[in-house]
Amino acid sequence: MLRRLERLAVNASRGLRGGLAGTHRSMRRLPAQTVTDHRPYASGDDLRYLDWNAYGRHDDLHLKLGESEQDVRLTLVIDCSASMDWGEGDLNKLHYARMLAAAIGYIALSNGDRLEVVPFGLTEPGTWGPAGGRHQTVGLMSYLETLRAGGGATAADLLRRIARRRQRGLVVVVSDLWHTSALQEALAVFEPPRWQVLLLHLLHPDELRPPWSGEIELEDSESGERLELHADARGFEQYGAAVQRWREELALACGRRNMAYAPLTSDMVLERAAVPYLKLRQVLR
Amino acid sequence: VTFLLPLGLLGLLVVPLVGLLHLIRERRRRLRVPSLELWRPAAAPLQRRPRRLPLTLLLLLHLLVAALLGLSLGRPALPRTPFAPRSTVLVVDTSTSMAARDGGRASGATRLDAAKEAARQILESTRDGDTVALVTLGATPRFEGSGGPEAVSTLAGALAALRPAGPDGDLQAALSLATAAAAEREGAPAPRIVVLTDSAFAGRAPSSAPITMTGELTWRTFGDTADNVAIVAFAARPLRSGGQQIYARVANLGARPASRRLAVVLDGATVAQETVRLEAGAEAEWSWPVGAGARVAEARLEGVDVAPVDDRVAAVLAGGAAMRVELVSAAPTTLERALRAQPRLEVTLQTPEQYRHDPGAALAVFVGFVPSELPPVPTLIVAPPTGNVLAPVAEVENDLRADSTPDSRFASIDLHGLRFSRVARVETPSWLSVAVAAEDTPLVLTGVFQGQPRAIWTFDPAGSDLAGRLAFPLLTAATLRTLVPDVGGALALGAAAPTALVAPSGATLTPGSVLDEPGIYRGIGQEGEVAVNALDAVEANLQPRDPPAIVAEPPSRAVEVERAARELWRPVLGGALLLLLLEWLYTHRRSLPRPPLSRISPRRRRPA
Repeated sequence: MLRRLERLAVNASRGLRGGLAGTHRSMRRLPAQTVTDHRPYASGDDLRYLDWNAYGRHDDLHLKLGESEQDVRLTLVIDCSASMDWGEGDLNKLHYARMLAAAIGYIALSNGDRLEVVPFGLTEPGTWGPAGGRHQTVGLMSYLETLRAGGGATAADLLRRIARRRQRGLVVVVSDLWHTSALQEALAVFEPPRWQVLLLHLLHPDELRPPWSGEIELEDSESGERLELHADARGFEQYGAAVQRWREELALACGRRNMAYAPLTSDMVLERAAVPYLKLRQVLR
Repeated sequence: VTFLLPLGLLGLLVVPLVGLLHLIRERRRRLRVPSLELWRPAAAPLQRRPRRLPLTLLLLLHLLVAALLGLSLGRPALPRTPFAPRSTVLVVDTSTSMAARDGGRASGATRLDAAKEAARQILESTRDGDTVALVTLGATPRFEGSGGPEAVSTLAGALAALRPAGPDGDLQAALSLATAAAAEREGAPAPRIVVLTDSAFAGRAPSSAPITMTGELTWRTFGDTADNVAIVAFAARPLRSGGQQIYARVANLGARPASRRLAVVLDGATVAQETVRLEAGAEAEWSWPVGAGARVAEARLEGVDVAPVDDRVAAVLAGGAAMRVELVSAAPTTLERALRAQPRLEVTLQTPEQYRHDPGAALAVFVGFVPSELPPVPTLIVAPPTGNVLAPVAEVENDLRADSTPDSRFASIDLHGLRFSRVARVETPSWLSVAVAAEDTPLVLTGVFQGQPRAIWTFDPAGSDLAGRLAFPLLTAATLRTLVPDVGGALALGAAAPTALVAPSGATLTPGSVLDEPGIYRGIGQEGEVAVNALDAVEANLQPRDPPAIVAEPPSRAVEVERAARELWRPVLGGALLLLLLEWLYTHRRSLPRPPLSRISPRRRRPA
């Protein structure tokens, strides 16, 4: 699986400004062997990039320019609020978010990107990175293992702090987006083209099609608020329609802000379903 | 329904407990969800629904099981109703008239069949604590057995074996037997005596005094047809010429005129036929001289009526063993001729002074003489002298006319117009009963004394105008039949077989068996034949008659006992277990093995 992941890369836009080491295409023109443009020679230019063929035809010295590649700073924002700790076993949303972050992080590290992991909803263990290089993979995994759910979804300030950084880049948010109306507002500060935001909306399948029936009392995982109701087909129909409507509104909102939105469920097999799906949604390439 | 262990009903508290458990099971389960954000609009119209227990099949089954278990712990039982045990005695009339088939059908149920069915129903209604007994009202009343419900099958078997045969029995004796049967158990309840009869009583009540009995008497009457034509007398008398004279008497005992044909058959060949036209209640007599050599004579009334048993009679004219009769008389008497006219009788004469009992004699006849010690054989005493100790004579009367025949065996003899003279009015001892009487003076008495049948003619045949009358040999024959039943080679229907016999139907009868089929019976192991006939004018008369006067003393108050309560906890518990099984099947219906699909859908897969 790792080899397959290595062949992938996070689909960063060319407008991002990164370092010179990387595999992402950049909008900057630099002297290069692969010519896409020319400029007149200036003193101090590297003579290796002179276009001697052009000099032969025009008697002017021109320097060959080409597309440069860059690395991207990828910030993985992982929702570790209490609402993410929902679902049993492999279907647990936080577990799935860690797996997804590990896959994306490994892809980024494999492509020479600098990776930073920022969990929100927790005070511990803090952020990871920024770091680059494939050798950081073990550290990344170890860090992700330590992530636990708890607390509320207070990500707005965190995101604003990230947005104030000088080095812009790609922000990948993995969240169920419950209790995150402020987060959605905060994402607005990541303005393209300096910032590129990928919003991975992760839900448990039971959140889409609740399996309960009869008299039930629902308790909010974060606020503790309770709601008594009689679960019947009609109620579930209304709930399902509300969830669908919510996801459609999120997709529209992300589209308006040039953010990529990918709805995911935790029953998608990461290798066979989630990764191909993200490629399809051009989150990965 | 009562409960023997009311405390056990506390088990019913399980019922609300089951409801509570279902309520708890159905209460709102608390579920933790990531967010209530989208649930609120969906749950708004639903969340205030009142909580109620849904009525499911599972809940019903659980409630039923709990209720049945709780009830069974209380030991439910049927109430202990006071119960008065009954003692029932069934007196079934087995006289010949009970063989009548109402409607004139050749086959079908007889009156006795109907009576037996009614008796069987009474037998089957016997409850715990009841007693039931069976007495037959036949020629001799017989006690067939008694007991509680355990004896019903035995009594039903005895009931099924009853056959109609013989004259009516002694109703008084039968009722006495029934009362005794009811009282034979200590602390027996008040008896209920049910007499199942056709009400064609033969009137053999020994006296005009009412019959007294204790208990409740119920009459069940069977039969609704009274029209009957019967041969009521049939006899053969040797002629001096060597032949025989056959005599037959036919009576229309119904209420309408009747027309039948009478045929006389000798050894299977019809020798004479007469047309019988009789008004209601009329009788007619015929006699035919027949030649010597005939063995069996029969008379048949052709056609079918209610009682076919009396439409055919037979007589054995030759054969059989002779019986010796010792006649003790001071002077020759007309009785000697009458005795000698009887078939197979050898008469030996003695004077009273010379009398010494002949051990070879089977019958003794004393005329005007009573020995100091009666011989140990059947005895006929004619004109008992004054001063005899056996039947003391109070006075002598003359010119009496017979007007009643309480004994049915004499009923077929036409005694009207006969005058009896020198009639000794005797003080009737208790062992004698009146067979023929002139007002209140007995003419013929019969009974059993010192273990032998005895008969007394209180009149002197020589002084009466009997000589030359057909009634005299008939009276002689009837009297001899009361003393020696098979005299004359004929037996009455209902009598006991004297030896092993083969019935006309071919059935083999052991000695003592009841002769219930008219016709000629053949002896086994010895020569001779014997005719069995109904020949009972009283039995043939099917007219319902008033029952004899019976004084039924009210029974003492029935003692009520409490019937043992019948507990119901077993079936209730069984029902609970059955419901539990149903509940298990319902709960595990999805995990139960199912037949393969191929057995459900036999359609073949269509080839590609």
